[in-house]
Amino acid sequence: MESLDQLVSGLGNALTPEYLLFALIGCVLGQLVGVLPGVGPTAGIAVLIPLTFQLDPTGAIIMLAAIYYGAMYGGTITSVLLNTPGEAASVVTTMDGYQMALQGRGGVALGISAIGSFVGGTIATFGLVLVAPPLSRFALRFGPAEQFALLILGLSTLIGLTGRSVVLGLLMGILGLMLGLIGLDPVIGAPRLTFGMVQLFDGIEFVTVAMGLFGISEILLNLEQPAMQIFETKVANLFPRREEWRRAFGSIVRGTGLGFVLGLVPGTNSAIASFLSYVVERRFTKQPLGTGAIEGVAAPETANNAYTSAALIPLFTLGIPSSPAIAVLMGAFIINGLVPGPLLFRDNPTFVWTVIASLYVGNAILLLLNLPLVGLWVQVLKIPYPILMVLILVFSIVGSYSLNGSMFDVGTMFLFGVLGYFFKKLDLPMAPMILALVLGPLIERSLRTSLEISGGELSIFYTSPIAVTLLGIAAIVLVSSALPILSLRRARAAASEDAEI
Amino acid sequence: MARAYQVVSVLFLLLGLFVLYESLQLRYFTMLGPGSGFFGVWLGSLMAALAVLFFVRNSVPQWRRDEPIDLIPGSLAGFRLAVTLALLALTVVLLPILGFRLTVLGLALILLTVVGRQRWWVAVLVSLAASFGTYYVFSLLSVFLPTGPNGI
Repeated sequence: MESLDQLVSGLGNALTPEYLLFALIGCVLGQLVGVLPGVGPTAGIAVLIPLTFQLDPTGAIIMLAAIYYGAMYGGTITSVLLNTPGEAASVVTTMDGYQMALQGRGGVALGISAIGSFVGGTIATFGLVLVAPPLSRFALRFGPAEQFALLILGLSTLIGLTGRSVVLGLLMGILGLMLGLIGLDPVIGAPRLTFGMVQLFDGIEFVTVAMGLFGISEILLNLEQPAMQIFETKVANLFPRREEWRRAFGSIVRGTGLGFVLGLVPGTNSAIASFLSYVVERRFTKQPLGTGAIEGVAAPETANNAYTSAALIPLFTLGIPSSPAIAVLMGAFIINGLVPGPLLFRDNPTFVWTVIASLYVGNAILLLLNLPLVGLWVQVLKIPYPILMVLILVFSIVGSYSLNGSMFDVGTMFLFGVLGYFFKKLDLPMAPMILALVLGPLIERSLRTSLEISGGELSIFYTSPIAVTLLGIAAIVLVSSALPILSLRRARAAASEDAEI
Repeated sequence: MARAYQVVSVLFLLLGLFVLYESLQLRYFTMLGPGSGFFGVWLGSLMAALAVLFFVRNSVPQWRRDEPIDLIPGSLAGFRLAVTLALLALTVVLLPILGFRLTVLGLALILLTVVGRQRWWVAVLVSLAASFGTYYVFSLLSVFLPTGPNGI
């Protein structure tokens, strides 16, 4: 009941004109990010963070969270109408969504995906309201050893579930941790890996790395792609027939449950949620999937939006981002002076509950906006890519420069853009790297504090039941991922982490 | 791909050894507990060890992946990429000297005409919006970008 009272209070804040406007702007920008091929949610949030610099922390996170889940809605439109997924989670939607469009039922596909997304997102947010407060209270019992074990578990799960090679995932994770070493030692203040450069004393700006790895690298990759052909399909009859409602109902329920559960698991992503829900639907649908079955649209679209809201639970309660997009969102929290984790609910309840309430508001805005704006998004897709490329590039320059008013950050962003280009070409997983970069300072601090308490004895990690359990699970995840029989290889092949980005 | 991954392994190995060397110059342990070099020593060692493992994995025929890899772009894509990278490098050098508006105007014009093959008037309009327009909008948001000669 206490949670519901706080949610109602948060809703009051989220409905103030100012925050309503930020949610609206975020939803529209998010849809734009979702619509544009080659600009995934991770790059979208990273590039648009500078827009929020002048906002208060609550407004900034409301807008960025809206961009995050707005992208999930936007990606559907191009999947259905153009057979071109705007982001990875919508890839499977093309299979039946586009077939429905060819049969003149594109409007119904968009309608059911908007409704399913709203239901999935809203129910998952309700789950967040129920689960997050007790989980964060439990996590408050954690000391540095337990916190270290938890962070290692989060990182291990991501490494275990993404990419084709666990060794490669570990290498990329360590690379991210090494980047986190750069700067002054947080305890003693000694410079590390700074090469005498004053600009590196504060460490590498996370946002510039994210913008480079995900935004600039995508521009460089797209230079190698042929121009996309745009064609139009008419949209009419947005609402399903009674029989279609009946068929879609079960898909929406299953998609919500699956998306919610996967959102709680670090290392998964929304593409895995939508792909698995599509696989599950094969067992339930009478009409074969891939022939324009409404279940093939309703289930994955519901699952990816349920995932999106549920993935905020590990972030809000434990301070663990479960995917690259959430890691960038976590970076935005830190920029705004907020540290996600159990203390967030205790120390910043107004902020937390306003942001959670804004998820409901945002989902409602998206349901209302999604269909009327379809025509606009199709027009946006007609803008030649070179023009979009220039605009994204200019926005990235402004964003990285405005962090510290320094050209050093612009140069760093370009450097990581080139690195990201080669990482993608070589299929090196970037998700462990970006997550490790965010978690690196926290992991180091908790490790060092633990060893300070124990006088350098490692026993502190295996005498704590919670820590030893979490570290045990982390080891099992890594070992099982290395064994082909137990790995989620099939899911990965269809929904790789790079596609999510 | 196996050859490319062997090169990647060597680069990781060198990086790991470098971080290990740099961290060994710092205090590993102090009276209070782990020192500045503690984490780096472990990370460097672990990376070096994993890099060797990865190299071996990509050298043994039964284990390695021999899928083709498209690392080098074609001539047209390579030209676009080279021009774009050169422009990005020039932007870092010229932005503090010429200011945001002039540098971005030039960057956008060249990108749109040479790389993007857009019509000249489209390129001019978009470039003006991207440079002078962006500068104006962000000045309204109190984000002040570098200026060049005569405050342009």
